[in-house]
Amino acid sequence: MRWLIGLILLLTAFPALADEDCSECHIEIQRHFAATAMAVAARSDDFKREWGEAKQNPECLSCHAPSQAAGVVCADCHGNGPHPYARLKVPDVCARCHDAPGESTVRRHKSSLAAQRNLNCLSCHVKLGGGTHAIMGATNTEFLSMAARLHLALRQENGQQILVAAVRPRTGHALPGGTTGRSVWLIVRGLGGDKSERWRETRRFGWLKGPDGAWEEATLAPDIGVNLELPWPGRDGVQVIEAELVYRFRPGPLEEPDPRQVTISKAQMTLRQ
Amino acid sequence: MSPDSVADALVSPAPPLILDARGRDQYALGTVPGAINAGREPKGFLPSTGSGPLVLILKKGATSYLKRSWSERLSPYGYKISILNGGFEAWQAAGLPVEIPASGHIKPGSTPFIIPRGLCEINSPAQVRE
Repeated sequence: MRWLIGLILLLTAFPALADEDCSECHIEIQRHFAATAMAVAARSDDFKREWGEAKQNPECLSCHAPSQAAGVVCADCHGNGPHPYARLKVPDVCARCHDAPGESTVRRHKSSLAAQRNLNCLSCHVKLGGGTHAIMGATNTEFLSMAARLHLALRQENGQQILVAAVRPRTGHALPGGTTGRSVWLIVRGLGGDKSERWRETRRFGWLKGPDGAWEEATLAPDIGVNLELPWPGRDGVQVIEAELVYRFRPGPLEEPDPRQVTISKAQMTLRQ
Repeated sequence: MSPDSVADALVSPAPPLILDARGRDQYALGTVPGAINAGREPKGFLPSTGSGPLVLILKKGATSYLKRSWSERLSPYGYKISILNGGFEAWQAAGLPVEIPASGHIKPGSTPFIIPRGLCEINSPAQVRE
């Protein structure tokens, strides 16, 4: 009995741990987490640029560097003890930042089919074989390329041909997730027999700021996504339809170069002659 | 495929494409999340070339002729076709989520808006919001 009391005293009296203290025992976990974007959330070029534009608003740091470190550290999610820490509740613990203004990732996840099938953030965002803390997101290109699928379909309705460009997010949350600094673009093009472009439709998805200054969500809903319906796709001699879904790490116009943009999905259809 | 199997497949690494072939009116009232309105006539439908699973939602009491027609229409495009057992009614009865498609569609047309440059942004006017 005495040993049990001693153990309890030892555990409850253990001081609050700083990040470097955790790594003394949790070596692998610390190594995996150090390689994530979360670990350097306050050091990324995107953040530094936006934070500068925001006149270094200290509120931004409540998520990007809650402990004034280079990014998120152990205690920011696990608390300050006493050791051993209570098991984290996912996705609630993620919501503190991922439902912050300009995000709706966790809120949208809760209404998704993935949540209903008992999947949570860690079901997808942890690298296979990477332990529990190798968290990945859109900055992992291979992972990002699975974020959505694009389909084309042509149907007849009241004697009219209607082209449907259907975007189906596979994210289990809003797409793009993350902050207002990202966007997803759907580009559909009608091509003639000589491959020249005859028409083009472009749509942007992501957070936007309306003329009244209020933020509005125009992200793609999980599972549902969006159907862009275009009548008479064969007009102007179009023979081939090509569509592309592009993820960008900047919110502005498509013409603005983004060296990190990724084509998530493509689809092509040859119209019947 | 049973509704539960379809729901599991939708959150798997290779989710099926869902085609709702009950016609516009029934589709508009509610469908499986992410389903595409394929119209009612297999002859008038054309998918993009694809691969992988495809689940078809047919109207209640669909004849074997209709099922065969859809299968013949879609098979050449590379899909592995299944039919949702019990149709959309069985999906609803299983308590699975329903999409009201009108809310998910966008149509050409425009309301001006301003693209943000970030949460604490400098704005630049452009584009069109649907």
